[in-house]
Amino acid sequence: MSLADLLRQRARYVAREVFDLLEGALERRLRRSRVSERLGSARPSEAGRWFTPEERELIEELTSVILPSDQIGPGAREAGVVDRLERRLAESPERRLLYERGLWGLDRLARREMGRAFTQWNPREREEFLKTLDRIAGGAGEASSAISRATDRARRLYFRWRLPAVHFLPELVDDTLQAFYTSPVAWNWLGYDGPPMPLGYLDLERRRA
Amino acid sequence: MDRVARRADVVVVGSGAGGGVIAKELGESGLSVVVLEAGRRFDPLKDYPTDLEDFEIRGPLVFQPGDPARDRYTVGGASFCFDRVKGVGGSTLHYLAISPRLHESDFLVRSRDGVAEDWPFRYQDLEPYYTRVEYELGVSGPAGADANPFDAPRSKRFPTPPHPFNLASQVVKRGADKLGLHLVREAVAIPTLDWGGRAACVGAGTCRFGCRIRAKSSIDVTYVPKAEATGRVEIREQCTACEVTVTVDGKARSVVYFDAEGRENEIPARAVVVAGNAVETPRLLLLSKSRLFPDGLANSSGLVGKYFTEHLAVCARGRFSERLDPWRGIPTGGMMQDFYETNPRNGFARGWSIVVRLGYQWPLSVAHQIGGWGAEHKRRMKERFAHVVGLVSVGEQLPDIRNEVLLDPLVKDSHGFPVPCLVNEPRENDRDMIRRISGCLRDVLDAAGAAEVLEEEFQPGASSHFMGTCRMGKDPKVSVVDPWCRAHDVPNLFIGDGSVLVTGGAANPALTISAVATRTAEGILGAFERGEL
Repeated sequence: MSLADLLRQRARYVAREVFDLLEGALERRLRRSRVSERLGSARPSEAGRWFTPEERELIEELTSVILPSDQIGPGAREAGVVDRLERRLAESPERRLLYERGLWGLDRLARREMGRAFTQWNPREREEFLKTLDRIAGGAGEASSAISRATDRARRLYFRWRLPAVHFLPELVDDTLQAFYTSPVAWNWLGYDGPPMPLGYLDLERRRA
Repeated sequence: MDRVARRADVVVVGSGAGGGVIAKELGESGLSVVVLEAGRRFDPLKDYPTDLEDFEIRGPLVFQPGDPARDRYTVGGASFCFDRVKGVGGSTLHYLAISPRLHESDFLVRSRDGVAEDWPFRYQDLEPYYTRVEYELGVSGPAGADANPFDAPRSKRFPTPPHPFNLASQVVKRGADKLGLHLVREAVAIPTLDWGGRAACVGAGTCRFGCRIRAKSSIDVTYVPKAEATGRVEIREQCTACEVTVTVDGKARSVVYFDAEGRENEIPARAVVVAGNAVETPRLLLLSKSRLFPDGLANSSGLVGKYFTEHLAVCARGRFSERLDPWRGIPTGGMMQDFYETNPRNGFARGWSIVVRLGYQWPLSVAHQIGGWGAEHKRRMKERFAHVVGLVSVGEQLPDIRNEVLLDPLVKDSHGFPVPCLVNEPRENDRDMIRRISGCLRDVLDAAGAAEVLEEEFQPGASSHFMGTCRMGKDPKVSVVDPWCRAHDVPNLFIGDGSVLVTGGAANPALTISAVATRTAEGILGAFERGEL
């Protein structure tokens, strides 16, 4: 390995360590923050439920923009995505913190933008808003150089600290796609006859119309 | 040192395509064997979630370590994706079981094409071992009119009949036929008949996430049970070897390892076989420094870790207007070897095979490939899902001394040992070949009638085939092990994995690794019988 490669590698290593430290410190700080006290109503007490009524309304609308019900096919609503998301939240305190801050941050940002709650916006306004957040978050591009990777990571840390709505949206999109595409509603729409096991596909040539 | 164990005849590091085979062969021959496997044992019914609705979410997590630091590695220079499985069965746990043999020319690349090095033996020397391994695994493949016209000569037919082609493969064949290419069913270590007490394959297509019904012939359900049935082979799971110690007269004495509880142990042996794969094996040797071997064990040539070779996996996908339902059946759908040998008109040496790739066409995977959200995403999803088939090349990367595995000077793993640093960049011959392969894949998909061809950027490491880092040879100055995979410097040290392969050919290496390992085991046994160990 050349000296230049060695130095580049050292720099990458140091950058990674620094970001890991910052991320860890931020995580601890966020856990201690009192977002839940600012929420209007308390969390439900039944097992398997977590969203407050206001959060549920907001996330129903958000996931319906991410995967709308339209003439192309069913969407998040038909697949019961919000219930699926809620069940997954039961397994992970980190995810609950992410959703709590994210939904609160999104709601606050929306009210600041239009002077009224996101749930009161029209469909075009909602879609534009999410597209804007998406653009700020940086979309799905893969950073190629070490410098751009470091810049990306710094930006993501900043969003997590200061703009929870921007940090939250890509995660919500990912979770929504996961919840939708592993549901019978989506499988029927696409004509996918899973799951693969235990029956397999001995009729290899069967074709759906 | 907490525990020094009773001496075994042979300690084998790793239980994959090489180590698992050697353990079984030696155990059946009457030797006592202890296998140190860094990963754990997997239970198909408990661990492989391919019968669940969310198998696409859980599947990729099956073989991930609990602590990511366990498998940490770094790269020098460009990126390199090092994907492997630590576990009883090694990377065969997640492999797609493609099991072709090398061609006769692969053993004579220097003599014939003036590049790389010749192997220290010929295809004919390895042929009986290929046959033995194929029959252990129940490899399925075509015969007669459907046979691969480019296959090397075989002494016996394939043990089980070939898998049929699904719709996606038939569409690709349309294109191959038009161009005069030979799309044939590839040899796969997935029996189509009940074999070795296991049921035949049902074509679930989720080999990558482990085979729930044990139909795929990974090492854990084939060689390992036979090894353990001898009563002479003990597999110690979650035991990570960290040093091979030597005696004052330069013989391997013992293997030091960390067990599942993190305690340091040492097990003496009359012979040691290192079979961790072409990255972990040189790493272990380089970690085993001593006064006699200041540059690492068995490294008087300086070549331990050098000539790190992979295959060039160039990918492309074709979208068709007709529905293909590619997920039906095993995840690979045929192979073309028309471009295997050197074509003087190319301007570069050696060639490639093409494999039809059917995996990752399930709903969530396709949604991720498409990206985005909203109505536009849904529209593209409906257009793309079930309409795409992939092609991937197995291109021969020439061994290059600049490509290597070294110890990272800074980064450590969860045990505190230097992680491997991987240096592998496509060199001049590779770059020319990659360009040519891209064009070739596009031609096949166009000829098949694809409405759209999606090319993918070449990713170093994507092949998951790792070879060359402890190469075989007759001359100790330019090789690490002799033609029987015995270290030139250390008479009771053997290498049992893909590190020994002198060249990679244009064939997936698992069958070759197992065949060479079978031969190596025979050599080890011979050395014991002659009293050399």
